[in-house]
Amino acid sequence: MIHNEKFKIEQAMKGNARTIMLRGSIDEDAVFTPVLKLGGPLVFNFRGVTAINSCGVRNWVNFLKELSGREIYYEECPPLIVRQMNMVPSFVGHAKVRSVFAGYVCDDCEHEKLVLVDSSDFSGGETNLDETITCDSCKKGEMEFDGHPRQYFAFAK
Amino acid sequence: MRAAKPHYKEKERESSEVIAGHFPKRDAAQYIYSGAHHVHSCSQGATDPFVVATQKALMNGDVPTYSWELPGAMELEVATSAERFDRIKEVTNNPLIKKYRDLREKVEGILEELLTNAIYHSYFNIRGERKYKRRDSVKLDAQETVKIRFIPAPDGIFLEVSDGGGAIRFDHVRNCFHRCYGSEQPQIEAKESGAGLGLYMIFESATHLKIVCDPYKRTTISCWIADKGNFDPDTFSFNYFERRKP
Repeated sequence: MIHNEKFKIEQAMKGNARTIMLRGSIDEDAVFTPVLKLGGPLVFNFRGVTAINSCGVRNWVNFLKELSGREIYYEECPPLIVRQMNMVPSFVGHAKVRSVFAGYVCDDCEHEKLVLVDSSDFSGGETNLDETITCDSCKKGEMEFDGHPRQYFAFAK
Repeated sequence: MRAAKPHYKEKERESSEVIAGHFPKRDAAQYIYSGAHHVHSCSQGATDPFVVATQKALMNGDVPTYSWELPGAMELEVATSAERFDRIKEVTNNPLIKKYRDLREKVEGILEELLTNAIYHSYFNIRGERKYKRRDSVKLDAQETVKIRFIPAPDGIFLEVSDGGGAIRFDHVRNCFHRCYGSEQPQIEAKESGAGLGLYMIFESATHLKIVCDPYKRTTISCWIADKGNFDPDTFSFNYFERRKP
């Protein structure tokens, strides 16, 4: 749908909702304006976003303002997007966050894993997430939540 | 030194004043907006070693080297805007940084902001305009330097980026912080570049931030990024020093 060397937008229909898949690096060159022409509720999937800088954050916030009054959902937000959501509340704006990834790392074998967390598990900024889980790579170590759960889910307060 | 009691409309602070207390970064930004060049938040308050080191250095007209500025840092040079991505990877591929996603992504984010600031906002042409535009692919002139110094430790990482422009002034910093912390939502929309937001993002992610500006010659921005086990959002320091001609 939209391409530059570093950033790509694709769309897919899931039921009645249009899902906008964002991939690559959101920076000063990222352009979102063609999305404005699309109708109906918009679901932004951030799973493929690999980097974002301050210019990208500003671009996104300005873009989101142009979508005021529209139904917006965020899903599969990786930790780097969650960090922006916590630092810059207008990055979320009026969007509803459906799911985010939480990072875990094994203290034994250093295996990393992203676990998808549904909004029902972080409503109000409180989370009932497990702080440790068994490592599915070495099977003996414990994987720790990579960060502080309260700080990580602060965007949902 | 004053006891910490934040207030938006307080009088202009002296640049030599050291604010010490235990408060959130939003309050620190208010002090900085009021003119404070040195703001330390920690449970020890005035007896904190970084506070004492700052006061001592200010009395002597020096710039202190804090204990988090670890010796033996590795050095990398950046000559083009595209090269910064490789340099960032070189830093984050270090085993002590690579191990934790949280720290790795913080380092990536901070370095990106520091390097783009050094490349695009430090150098000016003879008309006083920015020499390099943000979306341009830039090859720095031979005399224009951008350097990274870094050294990881078990509890975090020391990062430093310097440029040969010496362009970052305190008024710029205070205004950036005011825009980003002065209301419920950071006021970032109307800005032409992301530099103000970048500084805010660095301050939010780092535990210690020190800016040393030698006007028209050099700016060095140093920071300590604590790992997740040692990160406390209310323990931090901000210091801005401007070297003056003797």
